[in-house]
Amino acid sequence: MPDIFNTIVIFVNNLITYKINCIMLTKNLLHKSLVMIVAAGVLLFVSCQGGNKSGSQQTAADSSNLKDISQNVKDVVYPLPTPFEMTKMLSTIGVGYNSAILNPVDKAEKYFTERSKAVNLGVYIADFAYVNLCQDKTYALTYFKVIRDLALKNNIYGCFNDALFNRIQDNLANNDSLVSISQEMYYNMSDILENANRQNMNALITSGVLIESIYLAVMNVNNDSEHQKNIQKILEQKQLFDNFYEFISLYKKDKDVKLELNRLDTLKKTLNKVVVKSTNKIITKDKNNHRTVKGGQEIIVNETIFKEFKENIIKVRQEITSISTK
Amino acid sequence: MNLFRIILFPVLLLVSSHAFSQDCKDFYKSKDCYVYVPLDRDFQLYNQAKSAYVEIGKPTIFKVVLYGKKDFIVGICAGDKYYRQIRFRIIDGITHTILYDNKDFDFIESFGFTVEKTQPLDLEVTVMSKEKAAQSQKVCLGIQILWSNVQETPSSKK
Repeated sequence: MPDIFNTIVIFVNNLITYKINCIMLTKNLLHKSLVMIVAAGVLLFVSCQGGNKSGSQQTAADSSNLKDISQNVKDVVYPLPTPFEMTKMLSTIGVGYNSAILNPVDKAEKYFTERSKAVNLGVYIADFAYVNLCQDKTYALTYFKVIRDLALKNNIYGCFNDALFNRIQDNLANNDSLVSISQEMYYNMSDILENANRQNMNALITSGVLIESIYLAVMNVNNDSEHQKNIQKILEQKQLFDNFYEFISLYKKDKDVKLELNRLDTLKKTLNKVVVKSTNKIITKDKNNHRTVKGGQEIIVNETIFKEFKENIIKVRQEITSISTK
Repeated sequence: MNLFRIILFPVLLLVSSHAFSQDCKDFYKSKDCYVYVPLDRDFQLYNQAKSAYVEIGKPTIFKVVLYGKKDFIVGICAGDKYYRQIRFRIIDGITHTILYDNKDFDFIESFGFTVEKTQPLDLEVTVMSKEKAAQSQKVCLGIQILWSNVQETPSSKK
């Protein structure tokens, strides 16, 4: 009996995992649909129960019989940070708040191309994160409304609804809750796009988020005593940028993503000029058994490169937020 | 009857698919992914924690950037009864040097460490199973990442 059950679960699991499109069901599959209805029902029941994981956890370790790990074929997952985390991290450089540098909300309805709607959704999400973290309650709801409208124009449904709007409204006085709700909103949107096989859209939105987050940070760097330290923190985003670049490159067959990649190339070229001091990375262990990842790359601050990077990010941001019909 | 099948099957499949994906989405936050946190420390969920469906026996790389001067605890978990062990390696994202392998530590499923400098790391995870039937099947894998500011030691305070 458990074998039959396992077979059914594996079968349905395969169907779901490979995201077979229901519209494309073959005649052959339809003949088997009754079996699948039962299987899907069983799976639904199982997933609602939460499953029993204890069996696997009680299994004793026995590595000798395990299959060796394939070293050749690997899947890669890019867990990109949320705009809230990015802005929060950048806010540690002690930036002030300047609402004048935000992308004006009245431009939102003028974005007509698919690419500009998606990228600017990302821009507004980053702005929303910035106003929330800087506790500007005046703009929080205004920017949320813009995000909701642009999400609908991008055919993203289910994460920017009235219930969320009301939750944000109710939590305006509580900044921690607001940030937490906003993060949840962003995660949900990413998941919706990922599950709908719309990673190209996800890549465009995240590109907007990344450019706007860096732009907000760069525009807030002052010539104060923390100047060098702040530049270093911004240039350290190179590593995050490289991961994102790798991620977005996966979707370069999409014409909109390809155009966006061309823009990011300008920034990448400048960031590649950043001088890094590399030392061997190792994990050490102290007398208390505490481990530390030592070494790695240290960004050497260079004013000229930062200036070039700042000019480029302003230019790129200007390009993506401008109203264009192309 | 045919019409009934055609309508009902996709509906059920979509509903179950949704339930399945919802289960995996937040898996890293579930009790299955619980990691031990020292009581006197305040660790928060890191934004690059993630769950994903992975193939049993096939390595999956989570490319993360860990910020410097922070303590991290990484926990790994899988949501299927087929798995027997999870192999977890921390690999330098630039040189691809292997920095840590839980094979050397009896396949322990969590690891705490300090990061001195901001750096890209590849967290390579492989869900392993002894059962033939499980090979190449997909399971939900969670990577729990917690972070805290580096705790000052008595010597560093001086």
